[in-house]
Amino acid sequence: MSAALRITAFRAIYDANVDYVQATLRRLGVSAAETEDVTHDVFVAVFRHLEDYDPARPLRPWLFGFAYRVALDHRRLARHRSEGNAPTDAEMKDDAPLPDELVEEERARILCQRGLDALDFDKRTVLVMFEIEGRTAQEIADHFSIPLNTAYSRIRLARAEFERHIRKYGAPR
Amino acid sequence: MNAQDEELEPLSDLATSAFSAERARASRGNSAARAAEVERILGRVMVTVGAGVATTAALAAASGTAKAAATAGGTATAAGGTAAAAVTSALSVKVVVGIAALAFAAGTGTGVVIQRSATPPAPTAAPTALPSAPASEPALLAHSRSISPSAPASDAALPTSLPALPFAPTAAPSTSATDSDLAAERALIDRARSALARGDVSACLDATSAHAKRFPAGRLGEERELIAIQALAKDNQLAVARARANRFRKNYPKSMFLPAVDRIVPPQE
Repeated sequence: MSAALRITAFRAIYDANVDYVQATLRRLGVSAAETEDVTHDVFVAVFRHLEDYDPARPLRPWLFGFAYRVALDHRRLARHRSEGNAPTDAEMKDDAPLPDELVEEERARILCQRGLDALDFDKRTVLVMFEIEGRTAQEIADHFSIPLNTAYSRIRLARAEFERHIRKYGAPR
Repeated sequence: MNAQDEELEPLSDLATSAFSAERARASRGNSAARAAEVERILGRVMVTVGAGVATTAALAAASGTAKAAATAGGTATAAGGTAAAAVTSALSVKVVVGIAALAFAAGTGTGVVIQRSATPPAPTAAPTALPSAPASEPALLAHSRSISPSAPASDAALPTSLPALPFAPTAAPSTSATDSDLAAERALIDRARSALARGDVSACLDATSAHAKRFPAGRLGEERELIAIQALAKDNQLAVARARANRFRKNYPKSMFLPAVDRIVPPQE
């Protein structure tokens, strides 16, 4: 495809999905300070593999594959790197609910992150896919190239561990 | 859905609310700072893949289309149609049309498309969106002219970001100070949390101190204190952890985190 066309397609994908990719990276454990660099890496890979995309299939799972692989590589490299000082999380609220609800949601979100932080990368990925993205167990099986039954048992294990950790951090009021 | 889904034990209420809060995260970026970040990353990607200056005109055309679609904010079919029309007029490659249409469909379908247009979206935006789109192109082309003569094909000579990209919003939509405060609080707590998760106690405590200093009456104070107490305990600063736990019990007698605090630093009789 021509260069101009690639950019047209890429730009459309980028604009509609940069939020999704960044949220996915955070969920997969990439820190706020490093999200921008890792997002860059993901979209560079996407750009270079545009031809591989099959338009008959949903876009987000395809993008998730890139986010997963880049986050995994990053995780291996980033073990000893420390986080920068400035908060780079430039997200702001839109359609903000009432402040109290907002705070509650914020707390629940922090709890979710902490629960995910306690898991290893595979279990973390399983929960991000199953609980947050609403993907099916079959998709998880395909993603990891494992049998469906194994995917179910990973979901069970990951859930149990997640539950244990969040109970540790927060008991119902 | 599979029959085995039903065999999974239901999640606790706590886990359900945690996951649902996290699910709600993706559709939130709409500040000027966020839009600048999005443009900056795009600029970096374009430079890395070598699509910087040479293809700026194409970028302008693409962004004009994207802008029109975003401003229209209409149905997925409308946005996809706009994209498809622009693409086919350039060159009819089926795959690209599919990708572009899908990208828009995914965005509008899940409410993730950010209103990044220069003109704030209005109920009547759809019919007026297209005429307004070309207005952004001169600015971008001017920008490309300003950097292209000196650096015709070399990536290294390009700036690392493209500051004059079109459709940056003129101003953030009316977000109140409290909301941006909460976002700033969250950023600090996130920093502390991820530092603790990777075992970097001093970075964690730096972030909790920064939060305490900047938001002495912040709304995520309980989270901050719990994280700080955990970090202190992990660092064997037990006396400090205990003092802080005692203050926590006094300040937040009804906190959902009390059991967690008690587990880290058992209350003294």
